[in-house]
Amino acid sequence: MKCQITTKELSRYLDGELGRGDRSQIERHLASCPECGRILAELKRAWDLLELLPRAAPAPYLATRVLAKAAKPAGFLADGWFRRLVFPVTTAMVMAAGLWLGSLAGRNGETAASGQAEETAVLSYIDHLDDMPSASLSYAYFNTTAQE
Amino acid sequence: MDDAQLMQRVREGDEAAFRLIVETHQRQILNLCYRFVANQQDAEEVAQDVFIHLFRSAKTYQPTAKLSTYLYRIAVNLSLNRIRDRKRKRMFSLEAMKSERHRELPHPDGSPDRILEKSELAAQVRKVLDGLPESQRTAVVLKRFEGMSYEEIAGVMHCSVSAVESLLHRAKIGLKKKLKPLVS
Repeated sequence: MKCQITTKELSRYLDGELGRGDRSQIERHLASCPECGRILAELKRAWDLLELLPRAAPAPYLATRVLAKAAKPAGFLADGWFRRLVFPVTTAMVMAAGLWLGSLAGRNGETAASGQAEETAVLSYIDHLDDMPSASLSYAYFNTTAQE
Repeated sequence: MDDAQLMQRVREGDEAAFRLIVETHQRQILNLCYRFVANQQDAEEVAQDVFIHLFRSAKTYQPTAKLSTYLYRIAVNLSLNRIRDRKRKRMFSLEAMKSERHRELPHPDGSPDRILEKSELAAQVRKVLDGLPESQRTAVVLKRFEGMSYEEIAGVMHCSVSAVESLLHRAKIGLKKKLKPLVS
């Protein structure tokens, strides 16, 4: 704005927050300044558009509901801060417990795997005892019993 | 009976005194909450919480301001909290993205009266109001819808009168700019 009236003063004028003297001064200026008149009209139009926003419908039982709720003691879980604290902590504890149990299960798996390896090694030694010369009596005996 | 006496009786467990406070202020508080949250159910829930908060803080209540100012302050804070919670929940929802698409302002070339029905126009205005910074929006709601003076708004918002003046000035400039297709 190029004149001495600022948009801030126009805003105060629109809000009815100016004293009688200041208001008269603005009105005299507006009568001779189309630019300020245009700005004021746009500010007013934008301000008036807010009137389009609907109002709340009446809530006839609001007071009754408030009184019923007020009669109940405030529980721990009803408090926002408590709820905000308990839920994350509980979740973190459950996750930590899950990880711990998972690591335990993993360790048992490792033990089982190493036991199996040892057993395989021992069996491979025993297999050496199985080698029998094909012309031996034991070879003939085992072949005969296997066929039976 | 003045506000301090009423609250003294609430502190002593007088249900009738509390009922009187609720019945006296419920309409204004419900409307104020609705202006912020723009949803009947949310507004009713927040308004309920405002009075519950008052009831539970009766023991520590200090009559430094009018009871209505105190109630307005709680209502503004709880309404803004509700909006923040809702935004957090909806941030990544598909529904939010879809509804945003419907809220674009009409092209400035078209006549707003022809392009938009009243309810659609109201939705555009709502979007622009919601897009203002919280402090500006609060000042606008208290001035435009509650008809409060700068001094009363300063009392609710815990700030100076000149700060309220600046907030409302910037808010009007912002509204004018964002509603340009509809105001020029």
